[in-house]
Amino acid sequence: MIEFQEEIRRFKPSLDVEDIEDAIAKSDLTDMNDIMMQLVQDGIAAGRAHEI
Amino acid sequence: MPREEPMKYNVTLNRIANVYYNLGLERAKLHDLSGAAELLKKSLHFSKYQTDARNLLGLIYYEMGETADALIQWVISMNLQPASNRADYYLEEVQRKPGQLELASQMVKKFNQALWQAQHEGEDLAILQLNRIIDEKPYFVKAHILLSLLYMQKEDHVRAGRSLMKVLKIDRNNPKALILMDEVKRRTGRAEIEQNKLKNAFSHRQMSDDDVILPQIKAQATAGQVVRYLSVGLCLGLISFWLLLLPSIRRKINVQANQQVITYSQELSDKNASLTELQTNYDALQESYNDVSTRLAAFEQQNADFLGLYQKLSSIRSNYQSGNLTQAVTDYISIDRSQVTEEPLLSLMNEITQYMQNEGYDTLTSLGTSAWNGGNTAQAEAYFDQAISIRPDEPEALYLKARILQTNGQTAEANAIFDRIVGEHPESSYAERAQTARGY
Repeated sequence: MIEFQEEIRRFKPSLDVEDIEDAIAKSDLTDMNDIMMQLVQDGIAAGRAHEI
Repeated sequence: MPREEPMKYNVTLNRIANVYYNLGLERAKLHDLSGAAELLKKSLHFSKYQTDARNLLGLIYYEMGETADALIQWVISMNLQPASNRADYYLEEVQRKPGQLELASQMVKKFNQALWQAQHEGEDLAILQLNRIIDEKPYFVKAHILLSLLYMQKEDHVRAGRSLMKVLKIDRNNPKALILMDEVKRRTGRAEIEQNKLKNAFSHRQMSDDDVILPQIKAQATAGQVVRYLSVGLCLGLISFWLLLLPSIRRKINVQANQQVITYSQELSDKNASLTELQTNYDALQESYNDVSTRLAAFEQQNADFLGLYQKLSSIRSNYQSGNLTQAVTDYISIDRSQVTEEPLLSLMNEITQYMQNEGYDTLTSLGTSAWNGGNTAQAEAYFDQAISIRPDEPEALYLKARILQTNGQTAEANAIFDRIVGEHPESSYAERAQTARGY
């Protein structure tokens, strides 16, 4: 059974063309490659700390 | 070797991103836009540099009426890969048509307004607004789905179904549309019919003679429902008129009134220009009239002077011809000769002058002498004066006048004239006579 009011409440306002600059600025462009690189760099840093 | 690790991951991640892109592309080709969008987003999670995936995602958003989301993807795509990027063409195409972005912005604003009304118990107005949006932008999936929900809430499942059909034509596997469509079919009994059709299609059972096909019975509306529907329709009609037609009617009336004011202003301006022109013409004519009047008055004056002079000269001539020499001489002396400049006055004046200089003078001196001899010295003096007036340099008349004065006891005046004769006419015979009379 569909709860119509609930369904309607779930709708979010559409993004206006005038607001795309903000939306682009707030976009999270992090991809898996960035995450992997970060992990690798963190690992390297941890290894060096351990050697010291 | 830790430095080689990132490279390995990079290649692997790019491959995964590419696989997702290919899957997304396949879904997009089958018009499963929602499914394609999900796969393309996954592709971009693995590699943000998967430009084709991002551009296709933008296209899908654009196709579903989400222009702003599409622009975001294309702008990011251009930032990540400025050269040889198809997104450049898409952005140019969207911006090339004048007013397209503005229209998209207006549609989004109207949609958000309709959504607000739908969420705040303004369903009827929201339905009106959404229908207008869909007329302008038939591919706006989100508006279709919201509209179908509102119709379903009002138990208008037929219209809800139509809206959902449109959504599924655009986006074949749109999850929300599919769920709502199932509900619509269930409510309208369509689900059962379809199920039976499927059963029949895959069943080997032949229809027997005993099978009865029952006609579909449509529910008849009660009188109360009819009245309610009519009231709602009337209200909607009034609201539509108030919101949609009245502003345009007011605008039209204002435009007409403004146009009329402009026309009247133009006419007034033209009339003022005509009035100014007429005034200028009137002034010129008045000036001409004044000039002509002045000239006419001068001419009349000139004519009057001419006539007066002519009459005077004619009178002089007739007087001396009739023997009234005294009057003739009196009039002759009073004439200003400088005024006699044109014919026939000049001829007449010359004739009179010639007469006066010769016969007139002689007659006057004779008359003077006769009067003197007759003992009338006063008359004699008058004649001599007239003769002197005609010929002022004639020593004879001067001498006679001086002698009269001497006789009358006016010695000083007489001596002055004698001296004048001696001084001005020393060769004259009257010079010697003057000296004698003076007593030298």
